[in-house]
Amino acid sequence: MSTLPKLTLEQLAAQVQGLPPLPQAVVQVSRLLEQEDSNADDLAQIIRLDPDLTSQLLKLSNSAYYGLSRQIGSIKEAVAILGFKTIKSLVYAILSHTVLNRPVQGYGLGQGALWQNALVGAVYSRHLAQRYGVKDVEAVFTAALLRDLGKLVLEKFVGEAYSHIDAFVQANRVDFCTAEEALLGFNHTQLGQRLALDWNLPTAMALVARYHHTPSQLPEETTTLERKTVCLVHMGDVFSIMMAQGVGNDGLMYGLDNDGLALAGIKLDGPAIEHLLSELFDLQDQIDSLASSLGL
Amino acid sequence: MTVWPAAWACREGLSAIMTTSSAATQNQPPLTLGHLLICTDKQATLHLPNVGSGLVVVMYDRINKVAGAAHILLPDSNLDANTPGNHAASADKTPAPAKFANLAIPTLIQQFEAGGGQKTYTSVRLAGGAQLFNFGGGGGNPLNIGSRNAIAARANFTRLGYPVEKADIGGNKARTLKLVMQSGQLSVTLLGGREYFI
Repeated sequence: MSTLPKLTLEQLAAQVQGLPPLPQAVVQVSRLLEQEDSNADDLAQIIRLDPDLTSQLLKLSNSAYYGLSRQIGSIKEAVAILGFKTIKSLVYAILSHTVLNRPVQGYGLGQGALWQNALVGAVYSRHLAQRYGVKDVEAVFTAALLRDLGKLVLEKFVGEAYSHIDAFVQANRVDFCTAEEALLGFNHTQLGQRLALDWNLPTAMALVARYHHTPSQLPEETTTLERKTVCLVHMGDVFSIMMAQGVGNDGLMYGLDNDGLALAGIKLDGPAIEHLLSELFDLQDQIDSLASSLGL
Repeated sequence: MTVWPAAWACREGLSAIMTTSSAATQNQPPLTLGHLLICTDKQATLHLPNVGSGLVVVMYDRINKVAGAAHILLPDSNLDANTPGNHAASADKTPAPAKFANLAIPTLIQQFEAGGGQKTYTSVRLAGGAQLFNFGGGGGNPLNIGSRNAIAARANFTRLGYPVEKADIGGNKARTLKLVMQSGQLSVTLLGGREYFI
């Protein structure tokens, strides 16, 4: 088990280079969305220049998920009715779909499974954010979408070493990430954070990518809101795994980080977990509606 | 009883009674969490994928070649009403037919018998209930929904005269199940792991 060679940065860089480029129009829009002085008019103007993005956004805006009584016909109207924050999360949903909607064989995930898990976990995280009184629930949704980005980089090596990683988990009762790091030198959360930073994705996305399995390890200087966001995504992730929504060979080999949740003032006991599972299960129709609008 | 084509009837909250045409067999939708199905097509192979913490219960009549399956989320519909803010999302919804063991199992048995299944020839098997690690949570494991589901399922089946013959519960890998209608053979494949029969 200990004889596996550790990965080198060159090997990882080659994997990153093999990933398809991000769609530039979506990247431009997402950067605009991060600027504090951006407004709805700027946003509508840039989106209109890209027919694919325009059509995807209108399709999503008109999905049953938002339950609007009338048809939205333009981006300007979509921004006016749904609001800047919602449009922002839809842009990131499209970006995430582009990045994640592919087979990730090393983790035993067929076409669409990683994306399904990303979307389900994000919808769950948003619901939990509402439940736990977070003001900007769309920010939590967005932060959750690319939490497993690092799997794209590590999958080839995990696939080759899977039997060793599995055996390490079972022998030491540690989670899959700990085993990845012990055997390969890196885990998918570290690589996800690195990739998110390299791609200039929002800070919250990078933080979630790194700590969504282990919120207790967040740096001390993490703000209260960031900590809560990571914890809510951790919970959304845990519940999506329990319900086997887009789960691969790493299965349920993760943990509920009670210490991390406690630092954000969240306590989950048996009855609370049952209630949350029940509530989140009832979101399935909404998830199906969003997924079908994105062509899943 | 209404005979539904294979389609997505089981996702609509209705029990899908599969027809015997080969086209229906090929189009058999996977059984999803919270739903149930009845099959009377002896040529069919039922696919029951994506079983995580949930529990799949399988009834099979070896003589009449009738099967019933449900993918259960939680043990009991009577959730603790004292938990703050509970059940806000589902307060005014009819629960999916197999969301709760205490509601799913009587419905499954009733539809299984309506589809021709007879108690004398029937076996009941359970599989699922995988579990995450509980780090830093103190005593007990609040994540053991799977074993609580299995206890509830056994109690409900026993109460209604169908003792559970075999069970494959726990672990930390998701499962995919396959039931061959002709033979009643039920295989379990652990994602990333081995295949075995129960």
